[in-house]
Amino acid sequence: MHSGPDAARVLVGAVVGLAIVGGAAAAAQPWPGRVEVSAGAAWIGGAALGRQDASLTENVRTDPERLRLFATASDFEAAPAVEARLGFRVSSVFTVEGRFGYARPRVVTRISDDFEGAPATVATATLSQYVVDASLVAHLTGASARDGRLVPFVIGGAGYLRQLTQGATVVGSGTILHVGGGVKYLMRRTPERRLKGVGVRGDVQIQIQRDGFDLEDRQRAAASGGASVFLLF
Amino acid sequence: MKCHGLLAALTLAAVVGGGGPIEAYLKLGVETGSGSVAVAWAPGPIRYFISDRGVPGVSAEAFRAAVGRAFDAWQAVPTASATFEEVGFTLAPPSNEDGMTTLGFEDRADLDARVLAVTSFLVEVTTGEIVEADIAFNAASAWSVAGDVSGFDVESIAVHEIGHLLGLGHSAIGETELLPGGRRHLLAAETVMFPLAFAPGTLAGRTLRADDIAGISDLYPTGGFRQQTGSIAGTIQRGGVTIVGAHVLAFQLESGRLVANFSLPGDGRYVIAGLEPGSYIVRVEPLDDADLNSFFDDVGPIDIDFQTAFADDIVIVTAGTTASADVQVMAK
Repeated sequence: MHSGPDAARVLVGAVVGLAIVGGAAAAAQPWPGRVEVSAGAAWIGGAALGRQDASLTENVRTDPERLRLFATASDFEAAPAVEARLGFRVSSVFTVEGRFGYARPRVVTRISDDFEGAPATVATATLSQYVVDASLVAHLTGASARDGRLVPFVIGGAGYLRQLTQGATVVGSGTILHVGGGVKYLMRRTPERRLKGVGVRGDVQIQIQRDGFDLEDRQRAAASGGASVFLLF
Repeated sequence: MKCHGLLAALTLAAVVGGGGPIEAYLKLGVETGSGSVAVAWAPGPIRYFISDRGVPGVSAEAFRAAVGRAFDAWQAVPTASATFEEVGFTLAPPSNEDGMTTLGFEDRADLDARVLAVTSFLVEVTTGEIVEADIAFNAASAWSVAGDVSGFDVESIAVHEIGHLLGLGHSAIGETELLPGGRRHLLAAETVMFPLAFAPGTLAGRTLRADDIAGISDLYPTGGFRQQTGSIAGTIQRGGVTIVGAHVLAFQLESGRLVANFSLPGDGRYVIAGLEPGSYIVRVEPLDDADLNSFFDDVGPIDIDFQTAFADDIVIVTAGTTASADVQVMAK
């Protein structure tokens, strides 16, 4: 099983491949409207933030090693999120969309192996996380089903991440890349009306975060999934 | 300030943390009519002399060079403004109140055999300004400048004593073990200001650590230091009672750096200043790795009857602000 950046690379390859397939079958079942507005809930998977020992310089004459005072291991816990999207259909296959997301992920540091025998414990911090990004969505119309109402898609994009403490102090900002895919199901089609359609959407993505709140200077990958309701205008 | 090979004790009249909202480290201080004030030098180079005397294994010239490197270590801290200027050799011993800041070897029959060096001050008591500080290295101890096991490293002990000369008290970031007879052995430390010295042949005491740098930068800050760093403050309580003398350690998760202070007599609060912005784990332990009077002149209020504990929250420190972290501890 792949994980982390390796998994992201595999998924990027899959997105490109599927987009080409989708493009070849474009315009078979165009949906009504050019504007798509959606809102829903998501789940952002956890990610390891790193390990760090609190240590002291040993009192030895040659090549002093470190005496571990205590050990820590930190993680971002998985967290629910809310998302809103605004998309513009630029062709029968492609949609450009922007997303705003909000989540309150918790950072958990497990503390163990204390030299003075303190019991293992955890320390936590809850952050407010805001994401604004832009994506290109390729609808795989050639793979649609249910009379064109069920359409898979692939998505990729990039955006900006901002994380704050409970006291609204900014503790991190950075970039976020995401790739993934999903399906949209058009439940109601009313092309003659201003509201031209209503449907539901499911997403599965890999998010690669660079900078932002971090204990090690490296990029992190986390899985995410979400479901939303969309309106077509 | 005495520093023993295995044990250290304060001899100065007062050790206080000051009363300002921003502070780090344990600072030396004096009582004035309006309360306690941290002692410190006036701005400008601190001019010092070297006693023209050597001991077996260390010539006066080798001593001068080692002490010069020790001063350089403190002067190199980019966030502190303390500077030094060597005047030259003098025939005067260190322990004279003669208006000259002097470092050198000296026979001191009044010192415990385990005392390696002692720093004495002449302080203007109304302002806390240090006007003279002498460091006497105990000529009865074995000394070395080559890092061998024949004696204690002059440069390491000089770095420690110069910390006192600048106004810093002892730090407690270290672990010791109790030996038969009540003496203590240093296992490890992450500050040059721990009261027990590293063993002969060990050079670890030559290098300033994050705790030392935070302390000297808080006492002699360069412009912008306090705006670029943050603090953690709070109280330590056991059953609703505030504990005085608790050793509070801030551990930065990003860098692994350790900076510490104590909850102090008075309001019982602790303040750890000079922290780089970042995420910190706060650990509290009783002050039981060295003699209490190595840190506090009045040990009466110092409470060591509690278990080591951690704050529940990861403390996020941002520049120019003070984060709060109160910790509840349990009795032993």
